Amino acid sequence: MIPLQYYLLLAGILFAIGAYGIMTLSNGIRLLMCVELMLNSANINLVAFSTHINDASGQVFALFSIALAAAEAAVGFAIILMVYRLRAEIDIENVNLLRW
Amino acid sequence: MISKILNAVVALLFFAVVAMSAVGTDWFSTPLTLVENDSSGIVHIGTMIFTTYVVAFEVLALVLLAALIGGIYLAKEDEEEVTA
Repeated sequence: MIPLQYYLLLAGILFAIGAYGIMTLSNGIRLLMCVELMLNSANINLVAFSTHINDASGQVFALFSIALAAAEAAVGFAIILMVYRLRAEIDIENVNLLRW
Repeated sequence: MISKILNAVVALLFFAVVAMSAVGTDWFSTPLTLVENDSSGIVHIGTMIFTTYVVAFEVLALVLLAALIGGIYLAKEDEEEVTA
């Protein structure tokens, strides 16, 4: 059996990659991809702890989290599509509708 | 370029904190005996979804429906209203 620390390290690596991508990106599609990376690292944590304490609730939560990630991706891509129709670009450095 | 290096440093520091806390913590080790009623089985997960967490499951169905309708509404072409 693989120790719990390896799962946590993998989740930490994935979350760090996602955070680095979000901090450096300038593309809307890459934003959604990095958000998915961070969500999936949280799912790995849920399943790892669920197996560790021998309780299936964490895996049910991971399933719910995956479904919510699908909903978030659908709405996010629709918003990016609208931004592309308005501005003819998806460079989020130039999309300042919601910024002060 | 400087800001990218700075972002990489921030991400690496975050990972260092997570890694140190994950490795350094003394996780209690359950014996994890394989019994016949194994809680990691897919049958048990399905039973839990439709008994213990059935309310969350139904709310999740509503959330997915709302996201579907919202996504379709946002991505809809506006030219159909002009022709109609």
